[in-house]
Amino acid sequence: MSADRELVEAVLARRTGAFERLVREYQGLVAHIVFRLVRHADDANELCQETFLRIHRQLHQFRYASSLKAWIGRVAYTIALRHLERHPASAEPVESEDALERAGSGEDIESTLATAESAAIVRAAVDGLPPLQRMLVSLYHLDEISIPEISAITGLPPGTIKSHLFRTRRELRRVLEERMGADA
Amino acid sequence: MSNGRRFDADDEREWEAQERARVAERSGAALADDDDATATYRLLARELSAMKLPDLPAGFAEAVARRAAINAVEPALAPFERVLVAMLVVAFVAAAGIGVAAFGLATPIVEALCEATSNRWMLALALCLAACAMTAPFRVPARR
Repeated sequence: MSADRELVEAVLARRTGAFERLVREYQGLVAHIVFRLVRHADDANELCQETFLRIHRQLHQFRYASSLKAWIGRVAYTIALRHLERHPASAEPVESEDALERAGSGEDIESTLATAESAAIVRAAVDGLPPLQRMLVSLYHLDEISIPEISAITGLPPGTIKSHLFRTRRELRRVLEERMGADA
Repeated sequence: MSNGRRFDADDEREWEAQERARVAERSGAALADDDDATATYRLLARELSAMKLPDLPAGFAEAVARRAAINAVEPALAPFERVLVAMLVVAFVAAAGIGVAAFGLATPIVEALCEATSNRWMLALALCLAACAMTAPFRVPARR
């Protein structure tokens, strides 16, 4: 029996701790999708909870046509997207920690500062992206989710996802080169 | 590309550079043709994969599992249906009150009810039905 099937059947049989295990396993994915689309932390937290409560109610409808990960991601994506349609302001950036301030006190101060600087530039550039592009880049790089899986989550054709990723990374490269060059 | 925005040869080469940089960064391998563009993409891949996102609060999984368990035993009625049921109960009680106020307790229905519940078996049946109806919202619905 696959791990997905085992977990789903345990939750449906209401085995103690099974649903908590499912939440623990997929809360990172759900948080990444929701926090990338909806920037208001309280709203995003609430939507993550709503996602898992809906999963709990609708898990019996899961037919193993896709991976459990893709199905759960799809629920999170749908909920976050609907929230964005109702509250477009939720996509606006929130205050974030400055990467330069997060830089550790390593031995090589210059290299640490350079790393912190590029991190800060990339972070600021990603923060300025439209919600969909922000989420796609995050899922592809941070969560290492493949293009077909992202397609299953979002319902977008793989070609569209590839196009978004390509253009977004090209734009991020341009910003990075411009800023690093300007600071040099 | 299947989305109508065609990639030209330059785009395809740049996509390949982006992907080579991403894969190399993930595996930690050195790149043979580490030109400026690929080097920048590699730095970008490093920063993107290291980006931190806000964490969910500690104990999130336990809290959600608890809420889900509570929701599972809550009445299956939607809020609108609950309001309708409540209104119906209020209407019945009000109608009964008006009936008693207008005609007193000596009505054929009340007499029939008193007669029926004076039979122990009928009373037991009525109590069973009432208990069934009252506990229905707390029973776990069958799945699949």
